[in-house]
Amino acid sequence: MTRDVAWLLADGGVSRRGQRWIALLGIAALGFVNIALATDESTLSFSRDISPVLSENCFACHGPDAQHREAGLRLDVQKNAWEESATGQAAIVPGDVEASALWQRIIATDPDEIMPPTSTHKTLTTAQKQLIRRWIEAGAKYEEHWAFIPPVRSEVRLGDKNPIDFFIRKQLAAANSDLSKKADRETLLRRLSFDLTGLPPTPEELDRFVQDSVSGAYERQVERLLASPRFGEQMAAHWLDLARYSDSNGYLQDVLRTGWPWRDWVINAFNQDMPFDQFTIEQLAGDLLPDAQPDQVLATAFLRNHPISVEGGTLAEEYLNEYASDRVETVGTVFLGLTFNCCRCHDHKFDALPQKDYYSLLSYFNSSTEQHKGDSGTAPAYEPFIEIDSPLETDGQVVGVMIMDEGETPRPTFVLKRGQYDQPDESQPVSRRPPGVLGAPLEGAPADRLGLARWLVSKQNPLLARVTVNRLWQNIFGRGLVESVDDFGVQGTYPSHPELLDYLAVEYQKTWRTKQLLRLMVTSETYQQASTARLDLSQVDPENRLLGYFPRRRLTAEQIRDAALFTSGLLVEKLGGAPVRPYQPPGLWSEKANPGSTTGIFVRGSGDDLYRRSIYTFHKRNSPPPTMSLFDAPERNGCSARRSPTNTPLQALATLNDEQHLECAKVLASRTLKLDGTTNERLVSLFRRVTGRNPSSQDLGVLADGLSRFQSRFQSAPNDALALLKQGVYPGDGTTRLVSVTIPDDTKTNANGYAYATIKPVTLMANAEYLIGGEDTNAFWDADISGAQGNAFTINSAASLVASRYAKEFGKPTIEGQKHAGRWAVGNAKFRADPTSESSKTIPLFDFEPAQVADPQDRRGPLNLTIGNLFRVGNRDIEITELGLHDANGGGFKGGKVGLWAVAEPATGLVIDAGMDPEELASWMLIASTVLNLDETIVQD
Amino acid sequence: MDPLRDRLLNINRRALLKGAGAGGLGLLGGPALGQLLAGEDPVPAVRSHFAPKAKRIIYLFQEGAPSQIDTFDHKPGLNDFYDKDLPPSVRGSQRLTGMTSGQSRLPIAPSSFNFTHHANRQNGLWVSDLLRRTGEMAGDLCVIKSMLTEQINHSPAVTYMQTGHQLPGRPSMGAWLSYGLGSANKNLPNFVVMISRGRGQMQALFSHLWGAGFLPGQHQGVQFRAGKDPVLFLNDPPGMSRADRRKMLDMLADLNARQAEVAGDTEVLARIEQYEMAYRMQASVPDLTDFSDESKETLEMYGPDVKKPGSYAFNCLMARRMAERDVRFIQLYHRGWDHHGSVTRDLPLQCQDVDQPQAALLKDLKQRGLLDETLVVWGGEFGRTVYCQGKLTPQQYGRDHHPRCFSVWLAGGGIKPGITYGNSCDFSYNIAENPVTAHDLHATILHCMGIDHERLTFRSRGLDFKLTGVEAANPITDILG
Repeated sequence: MTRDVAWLLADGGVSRRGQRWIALLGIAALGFVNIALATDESTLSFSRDISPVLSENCFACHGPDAQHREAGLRLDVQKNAWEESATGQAAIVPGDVEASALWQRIIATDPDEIMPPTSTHKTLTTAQKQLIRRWIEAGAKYEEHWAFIPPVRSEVRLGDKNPIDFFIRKQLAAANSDLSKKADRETLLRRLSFDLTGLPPTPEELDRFVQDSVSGAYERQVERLLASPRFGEQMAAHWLDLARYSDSNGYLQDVLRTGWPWRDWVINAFNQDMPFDQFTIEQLAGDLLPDAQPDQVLATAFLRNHPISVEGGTLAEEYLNEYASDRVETVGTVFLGLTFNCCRCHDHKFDALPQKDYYSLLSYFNSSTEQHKGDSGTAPAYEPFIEIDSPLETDGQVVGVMIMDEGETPRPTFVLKRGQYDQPDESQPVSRRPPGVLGAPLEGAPADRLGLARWLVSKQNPLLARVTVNRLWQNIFGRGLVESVDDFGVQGTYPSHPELLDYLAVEYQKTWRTKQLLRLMVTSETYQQASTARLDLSQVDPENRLLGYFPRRRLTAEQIRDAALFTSGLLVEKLGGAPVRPYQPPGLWSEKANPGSTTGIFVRGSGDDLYRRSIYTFHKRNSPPPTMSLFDAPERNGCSARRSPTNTPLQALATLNDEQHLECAKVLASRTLKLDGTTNERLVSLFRRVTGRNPSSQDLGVLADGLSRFQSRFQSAPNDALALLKQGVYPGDGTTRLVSVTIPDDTKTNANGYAYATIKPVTLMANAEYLIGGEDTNAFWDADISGAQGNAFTINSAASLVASRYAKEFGKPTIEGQKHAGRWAVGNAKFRADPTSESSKTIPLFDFEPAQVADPQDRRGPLNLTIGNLFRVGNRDIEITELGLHDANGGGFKGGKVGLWAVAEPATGLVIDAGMDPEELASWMLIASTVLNLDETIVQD
Repeated sequence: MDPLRDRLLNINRRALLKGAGAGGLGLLGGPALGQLLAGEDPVPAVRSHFAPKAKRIIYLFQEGAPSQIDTFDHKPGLNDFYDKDLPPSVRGSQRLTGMTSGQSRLPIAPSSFNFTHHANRQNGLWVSDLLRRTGEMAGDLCVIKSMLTEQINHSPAVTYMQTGHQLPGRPSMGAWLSYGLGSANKNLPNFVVMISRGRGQMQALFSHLWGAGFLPGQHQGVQFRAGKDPVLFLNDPPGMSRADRRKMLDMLADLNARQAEVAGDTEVLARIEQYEMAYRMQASVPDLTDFSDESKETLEMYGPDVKKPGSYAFNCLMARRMAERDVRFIQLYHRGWDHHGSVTRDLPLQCQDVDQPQAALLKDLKQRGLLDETLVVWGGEFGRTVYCQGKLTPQQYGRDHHPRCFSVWLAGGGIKPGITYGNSCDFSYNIAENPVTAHDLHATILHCMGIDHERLTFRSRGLDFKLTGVEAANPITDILG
C-alpha cells in the first residue's frame, strides 16, 4: 500500500499511473484499461476482451486486408477462423483449445512457430493468452464489432434518477465504491461556467448562487448559462478543431482566407440549439437542400476548410484529389468516428473498410465545381464561393466564403492504386455509397452529399449518435466514455460504460438537441461531485475511469486567455466578425512566410481587437497564435478530435511574461485598487475574482507578505514601477493606426525604387508615449530592392530618418538614444509627393543610396521594424498612413499588400487615477500576475 | 481526508517550503523533492533498443533544395552536353513541375563552377569550390549521392523530409526522438529549432515541421529566435528584477503546494516544477546565447557573421554550445536555396553563408571530442534538375525541382567518416547505384541514436504510426561505423 502511494506521488502523469497499474495486473499491452474485467472475472465479452487482442496482434496479417493476408487465413471473421485450412487444421476449434492451431501457435516457443512472429515485435502476455484460452473453451463465438451494432437503450427502471448516475454508480458499486460527496457551490459554479460558456463566474454570480436557498438553485444556473450567447462560443471552440478551421490556407503561400462567416454560423447554430442532425446535413449538403438559403450554403464551408495549396507548379489533379481525401477523412472522423486514412492506399488492416469504400465515399466529395490554383493566387476565397456576411449581428461586412457547389455530373471515380492520384484502377470504378460494413444507402435518398448526410443522421448509421455523445462527454468529463474519441473501430478503446453510452446515444437521437443532452450531463450527481482525488480508488481505478470523483483538469488554451481578460475586466464581448490580431511577439509570421503570402506580415490590432475572446483570434496555419499552440491547441491542418494537455515550462513563461497576460495583471490590479477596503479585503477580492474561492488565511498571509515586499522595493525604485506599467496599451485611445504598404510586383525592375511615407496628424492623448513598429517583409524585400546597392536598414535608421526629415520640414524633433522622440508641429495636410522634387511633401524613408545603408556588403539585413521605437510628442501625433515603395519612375503600386507596416499608437496609456501611486499599482500588478498563474486559476476543479 | 496522503503531501510541502525559504534557489536541491517531482519528464518510450553511437543530432537543413550538380555531385562529363537536350531515355516518365513542363526544350546545363578533389578515406571527394572549406572536411564526411524522395513541391517535400509524410500533422523527427529518448538535460528544451535566412528566393517554413503531431505536445521543437527574446516569452518585463520573479515563484510554489494537498493532484506538483524549469531557462538560455566565453580563435573560425543573431554562423556556434549542454535534437534551417532563376548568381552567395560556419562546426565539435557522439546531417528536401530552367548561357542558368536524385552528407556519431555512398547516373538525374530514400535516411539517423525505427511507434487513431511510414525502409548499414 505504502509503495503504491509513493509511486502515485512520484509520477506526474495520469497515463503513467495507468501504465504502472496495468503492469501490476500483468495485463500490459492490452491497449485499454479493462475495468469490467478487473472487477468481474467471470464474464467474457468478445468485443471487450478478445477483439482488441486479436486486432492488435493478428489482424495486420490475418485481417481484412486481402493483399497482405498470410497463409490465406483471416481471424476477423468467424467462418474463416473456424474452417479447416489446406493442412486440415482449423485455426480455432470451438471448445477444443488443444486442437486449435491458433492456441498452439501463440504458446509455441520455437521462434519459427510462435505467433505473433518475433519480427513484428509483438508479444502476447500471459493474461491475454488466458483470455483467448477461455474464449475458445467457451465456444469461440464471434460478435459483430460493438460499435457497428445500432445502440440499444437498456431497459432499466430509473424512477426519477438521472440515468448517468445510475450507470456510473452501478460500476462503482461493483468496485465496492460510490460517488464522492458533492462539490461546494463555488467550485460547482466555476466548473459549470467554464464548461458551458468558457468563462468563470463573477464574484456577484458566485454570491447569488451561494446565497440562493430556494430549491432548484443549481438548475437555474444551468439554464442561465445554457441560454448565454457565450455558450455558442464555447461549443464552437471544440467544433473548429474538428472542422480544421483556419483563417489561412496553409501550404507554401498560406494565403489569407475569409472563412469566418462560417465560424459565426457555427456559433449561431449552437446558440440556437440547432438539432445536430440538421447541423450535420447543412454542413455536408446545405447547398443541395431544396430552396437552399444562403446560410445553409454557407454551412458547407465545413467541407472547404481544408488547407489549400497554390504553390507554383502544383498539379490540379493531385491537389483536388487531396482535398477530396481530406473531406473523406474529416467526415469519417467527425461523423463516423472511423479512421479512413489507411484505406486510401490499401484495404484497412483492422477494420472492415476495403479500399473501395474509401473511394466510394470520396466520390461524394470530388464533383464540386472547384478549380485548382497552381499559380500563387492570393484571393481570399476561391471558386465556388458565396458573398455573404456573418449570420451573427456584426457590421454587415460581406466577404467571400468558399462553399460546395455540385458540378453537373458526378466525376467518374476509381480506386486509386496505392492511393496515387495519377493511378486510377479502371477495373475498379466506384459508385456513391456508405461504407459497406455500415449497410446500404438510405432508400429513396439521392446519390449525392445530401443522400449521404441523410444516411449519416438516420438510424441506419449506428455511429453518429454514439460518436457525438461521446465527444460531448469528453468536453464535460475530460475524457470520452470511449477514450479514443476519433476511433470507434476495432482498434479503438472499448467503452468504459457501454450501457450508458448507448443510453445517451438513443436519447440524443430522439431530438438531436445538444443543450438537452448537456443539461442531462451537468445536472447529474456524477458531474456535481467533488474533484478531490481518492486514495481508496487509486488501486482499482488509477485513471478515474469509473468517475469516483470529478476529473480535475487544466483549462483549454482559449479558456486560460479568455478568463484572464474576463477577470481583469478587459474582455470585449462581441459575437462574431472578422478575425482579430491581439498581441503576439513580433516576427513570428514574417520569419516563416513565403514571398507574396498575404499572411506574411502580422499587423497587430488595436482597441477592442486586443481583448476579444480567443476564438476570434486570427488563426494562421503556418504560425498559429503562440499562446494557443503552447497550451496544446492543434495546428488545424487536419481534423482533430481531442487535445492532450501538457504541462511545460514554456507555458509558465507565457502566462508569466506574455504582454497580454501582464496587461491583464495591470488592469486587474488597477481594478482592485479602486475598491474601498483594507489590504486584506482587496487581496480577498482579487483572489476570489480569479480563482472563484476565498483564500485561506495562509494564502492570504503569503500574498500580503509579497505585497509589502514589492511595495518597499518599488518605493526605492520608482522607475522600475513605471517601466512595469508600460505593459499593454490599455486604456489607449482605441485607435491604433495601421500603415499598410504596397510593394511593387516586379522586383527586378525596381532596383531604384524608394520608400515613402505619408503622414497626417491625429489627436493624441496627453503625455503618452507612441511607438512606431512593424515587421520585416521577408525575402521579398531583399530580392526586390537590393540591387547592387544593398538595402540593410533597421527601424532605427528609418525612424531617425523620419524624425530628421521632420526636423527639416517641420520643426524640432529630439532623438534620445534608441528612442526617437520627436516634437513637431503638424498641419492638416496629407503629405505625399515625389521625393525628387524638393517642393513636395513626401517623406522618403529610404533612398537606397549606399550612404544610407548600414552595411553595403550585407544584402540580407532585415528591415527590422520592431516595436520599441518610441515617439514622444506633446498633444499631437502623427499617423503614418502609408509606407511603401515606388518604382523608379514614381509609378503605381502593383501586387498585393505585402511589405512594411508601422503603427503609431500609445505604448502605454495607463491613466493613473488621482491618489493611485505607480509604485502601489506595480506592486499589486505583480500580486495579480501571481494569482493569474496559480494552478487553480488555470485548472477546473 | 486520508491521513496517509496527507502525511505524504505535507512532507512534500515542507520540503518545498524549506527550499523556498532559503531564497528559493535551493528549491530543487533536495533529492527527495527531486524524486517527488520526477513527473516533470515524460517517460521515454524506449530509451534505446541498442547501444547508441550518437547522443544527439545537429540537422543542418538547407531549405529550398541545393543543386547537387553544383555542390557535391561532380559531373565533368556534362560539359560535352552543354545546351543539348536531356535524352528522353534519361528523363523517362518522370514528372516535371509546372514551372518547366511547358518549356519547349530541356537543355543541359553543366555546372559552371570549379571543383576540387579533397582526400578522404577512399579515393577522394570532389566538391565545388563554393564549398571549399566544407570540402576540406572530406575526411570526416559521408556523402550520399543517391538520395531520392517522393515529393516535387516544396511544402510536401520539406514536410516529408522532416516528418516522414508529405501532409502536415505527423510528428517531426526531433519530436520522435524526444518522445523515444526523453530529455538529457534539465535546463534547456530537448528539441531546439533555429532559422537563418539565405540570399535567394526563400520558401515558407511551417511550424508543423517541428511540431509534435499526435505525440504529446511537450515533444514539439522549441524555436530559438534571433534577438533579445530567443525563446518566446523568456524575458521578464522591463522593471522586474530577478528577486521580484523569485518572490513570485515562491508565492506560487507555496500556494500551489497547498492546492496539491487539497486536491490530491500530483499534476500540481509537476506544475510547480515547470515554473522552476522556466526560471532556470531564464538563466540558461541567455548563458547559451552569450558568446563572451568563446575564444577569439573560435569566433574567427565561424566567420564574420558569427556575432549576428539569426545568421547561419551564429546558429552553427549555438548548435555546438547546445551540443555541449546535451540538447538532444538541434535543428537548423537555412533558407534560400531555391535557385530557379539563377544558380550562377545566387548559389555562390548562398554557399558563402554556409561554407565557413558549417566547416567550423565540424572542426569545433571534433576538437572538443564531441563529433564522435554527435551526428551532423546536411541536406535539403530534394535536388535540382540537370537541365536549365529559363535562359541558358555558360554563365547563366536556373534549375528546377528534382526529387529523384540529390546529395546529402552526414558526419560524426555512428557514421563511417571519409566515404561516399551511392551514385547518380551521368546526368545526375537518376540513381545509378544504392538508392537511399528519405525513410532510409530516417532509419539510419534513428539507428545512430540507438533506435530500431520499426519499434519506435505511437498509437493514434487506431494505428501504430512510425517515422518511417508503412513501406519498407532500412538503415544504410554500409555507412554505419
